[in-house]
Amino acid sequence: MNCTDVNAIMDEHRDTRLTAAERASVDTHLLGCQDCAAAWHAHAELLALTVPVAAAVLLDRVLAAVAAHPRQRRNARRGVLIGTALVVGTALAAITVTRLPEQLAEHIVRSSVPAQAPTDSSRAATVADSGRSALRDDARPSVDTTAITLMIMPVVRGAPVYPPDALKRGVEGSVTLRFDVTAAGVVENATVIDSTDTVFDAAALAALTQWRYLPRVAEGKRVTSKNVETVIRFQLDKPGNPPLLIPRPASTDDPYLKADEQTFTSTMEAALDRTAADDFRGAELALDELRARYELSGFQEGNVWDVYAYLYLVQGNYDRAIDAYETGITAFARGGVPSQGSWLPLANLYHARHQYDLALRTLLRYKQGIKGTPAERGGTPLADEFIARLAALGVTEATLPTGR
Amino acid sequence: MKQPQYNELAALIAPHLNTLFRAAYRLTGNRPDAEDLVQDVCVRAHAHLGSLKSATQPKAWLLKVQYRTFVDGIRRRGRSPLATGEDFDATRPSDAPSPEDAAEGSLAERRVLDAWRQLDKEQRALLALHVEGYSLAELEAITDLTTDVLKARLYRARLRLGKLLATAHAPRALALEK
Repeated sequence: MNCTDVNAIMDEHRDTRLTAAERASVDTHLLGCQDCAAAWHAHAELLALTVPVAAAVLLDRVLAAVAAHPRQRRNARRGVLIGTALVVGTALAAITVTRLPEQLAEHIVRSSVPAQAPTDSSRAATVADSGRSALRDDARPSVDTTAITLMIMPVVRGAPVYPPDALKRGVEGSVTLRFDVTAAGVVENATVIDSTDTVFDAAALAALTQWRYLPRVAEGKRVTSKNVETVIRFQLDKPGNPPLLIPRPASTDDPYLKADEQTFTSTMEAALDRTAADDFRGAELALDELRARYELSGFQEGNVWDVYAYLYLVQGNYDRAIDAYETGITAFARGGVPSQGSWLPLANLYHARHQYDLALRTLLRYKQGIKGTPAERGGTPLADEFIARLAALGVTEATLPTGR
Repeated sequence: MKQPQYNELAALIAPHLNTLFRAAYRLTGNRPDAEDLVQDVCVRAHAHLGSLKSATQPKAWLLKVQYRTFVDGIRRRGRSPLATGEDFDATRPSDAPSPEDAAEGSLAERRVLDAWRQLDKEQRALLALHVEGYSLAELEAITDLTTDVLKARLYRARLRLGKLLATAHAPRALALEK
């Protein structure tokens, strides 16, 4: 009998079923082997521990706790979608939702942050997987946060249900909606202003009213944005169609410990509600917990980091905000979805810090990222204008240092 | 409206509640923390009810969630809102056993539990499930580790615990003789 044998006996729970000869053989080995003796002793001690039975009231207590965590809404709707697909006997319809930030001409306010003391523009951006603990401890910089201006950014976008009728007929289409985003980031007064087929209107409205935005910030204050427009496109899953900008919810094969859409949405809503109540720390904690508990999709994680960035930005912590935006963009890329909202504030942050190369890279990355997606069709006037401004400073693609 | 949903959950978890509790008790070493852990697991189970329902082995599903919950070390918000992400035990007021602990465990058992708390969580999680009687194959399903890794970790965990127990012996004995 050697160490391997002794451990195999414990591993396989054979220790209580040994013959007398085997037991004697084990004992002989234990006498000569301190490690095995210690392990055997520990094993025996653990087996000898008494374990009480569950209290009779535990089930009630657990159910009460479950009731205190309200289950989220959308199960029924997802069921409808799948059910319909089966009835029609076709491949599951894919849904593309496109928000075209470039076309929201009126409400877009250019993000601008006050210039800080010039930093060395060659300083590499700290790309952030540096971890929260490292991020959290530095002192908050004393900057004037009242000058911050940010545009709205969607962070919770559930895919709408493909209307069964449209699915049956095999129709694709799009709906343009106009709405307000409150200072808390909630969608209000949503109306359909244009649609290719009225069959899509209800589904688009239903989805939109569930979306949550990071509110616009003007002069350091969260304010309502009026008359925001967005386009929701409904598109079937067939070759030749552009990629989805909102990925379909993860399949239900192995969702546990992955944040399903409901968990994700409710946590993000909680974080945004806390933000609205100026409880930035609470919002951050909600996001921390979401990230710690669940394996997020790239799309979800990108949205989470956009909220972190926002939280840091409104508190005037630009280093962390940059880190968070960069992490978010990386996460979106991992999810195969271009980041749509964070490139502009990020480029502005770099610009404000005189890191013009990094600002230009951010813009170019953005343009590269949306290539081939519907967002490209609307053009990129804001990015182009920003690039032109940088060119006026002598920063162009040709002057970018290579590498990195 | 909500009642049927909870009935469904109750029907799914009730048969395994004691299993979960036993494993949780082994993990945490005391009743209140074990109950909290089970509660967390059930809240998660409810959030992923569809997945639980379609699981071929609900018990393994629940144990896996419990294992991950414990190893991830998320504390319940209500207990300590600032302690997310920190060690499960790090913010306990002290390592002294609670009154309930003392009532349930003998002196010898508390000595084992003291050593037990010094293991890292991964080690505790594995040993606890193993001692509860789960086979290596079952542990593989719960932890997503291979048999070889499992064996190696079980070996190291037992060895460490054994050494902790050996060093705990002497000073305790002296203290008692006074």
